[in-house]
Amino acid sequence: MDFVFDEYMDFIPDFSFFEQAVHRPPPVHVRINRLKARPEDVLSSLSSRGIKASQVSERYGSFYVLEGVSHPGNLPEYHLGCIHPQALTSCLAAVVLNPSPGSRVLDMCAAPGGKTAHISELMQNRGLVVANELVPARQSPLGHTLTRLGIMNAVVTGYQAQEFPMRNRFDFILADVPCSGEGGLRAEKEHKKPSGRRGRMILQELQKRILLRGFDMLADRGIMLYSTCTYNPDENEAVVQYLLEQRDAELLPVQTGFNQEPGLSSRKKEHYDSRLTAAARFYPHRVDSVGFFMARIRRRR
Amino acid sequence: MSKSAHLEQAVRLKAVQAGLKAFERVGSFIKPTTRFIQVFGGLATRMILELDRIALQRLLSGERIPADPGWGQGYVILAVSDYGVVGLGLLVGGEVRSQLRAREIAGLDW
Repeated sequence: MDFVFDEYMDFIPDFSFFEQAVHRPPPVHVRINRLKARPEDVLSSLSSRGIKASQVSERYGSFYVLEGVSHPGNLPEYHLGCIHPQALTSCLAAVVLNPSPGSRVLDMCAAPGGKTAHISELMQNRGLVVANELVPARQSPLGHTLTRLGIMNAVVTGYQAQEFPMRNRFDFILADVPCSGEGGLRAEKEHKKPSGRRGRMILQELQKRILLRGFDMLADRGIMLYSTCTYNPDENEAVVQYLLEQRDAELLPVQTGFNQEPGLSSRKKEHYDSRLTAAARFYPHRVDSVGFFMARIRRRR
Repeated sequence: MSKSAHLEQAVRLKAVQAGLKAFERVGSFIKPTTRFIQVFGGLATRMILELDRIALQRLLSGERIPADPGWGQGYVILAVSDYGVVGLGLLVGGEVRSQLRAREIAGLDW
């Protein structure tokens, strides 16, 4: 049987290692929420019950991998809002956006709220975070996540991201757009493409509209992060390419300290703007987590 | 706070939820929310009942825990060793009963 990601063999490096990684379950990563707990206290509490937590990187003091825990949502630390289960690459989104305390931030597609809460944590619960989520059924878990994690500077709204009211301007915008979610396919019994060709085209159109709307709401010196959890260049480079064609935007480097690959400048018959190499791709055989894509964007000066 | 530029921006939006709810009405009483107490309870200087994990399990199973009778009656902050503030209890007649969401947390690995 063909491997579902065979069509990406031409650009994913060390493809056989990638294939092996996709068939392994991802580790259980958690982020310690410094708004409610100190890492040393959480580690001490976990350790007293025989749960080993290892720091993922010295650079990031609140990202840990838990051993022997399959459902971190059953831990008291989760209920108390001291930890949040979150893929490592997903945690990096807020770090790369790097919002400052007191700023105005928009998370265009916020549910289930892990990245939103992380943004608030980095802002020390100051300033304003608008956590937008169109789907009512996803607004409730978003609200619960923010409440559990002690977030006080967030407002939840329910607009269509691509139609978010233009009268607002933001210093930082996260567009973690709906995507095919390929990066999250690990150790599934049967790897399947999440949607057919037509569905992917509709997704891409939506992604383009969200990215454009977000860019148009950026304050003059604002920073935007476009991210997905998919490998598909049609949802990544092609979407950012569209922005570069439509607006006077520029890409900024993405520096995480983890093993990342640059965005693609070409693929098969497609040629992308060379600036797209400033974007970052994350693969599970390089960073043991969910596959991810990020592009950091601002207005050209 | 009403002069905050952030608030001016936020009020222009149609909000589903805003901030962290601090209080809720329970019958004719006003009760601090569990999440609010988890954030700010650590700043309290009195009416804090320190529990060990066994006492917490007793509370969650519906038992009442004796408390300082000099406290009178009302809400007390429940703090558990290793975890800090977990929420509220209600002190009546020298005994504290749980105001924690037992359904949510009783099955946790305390």
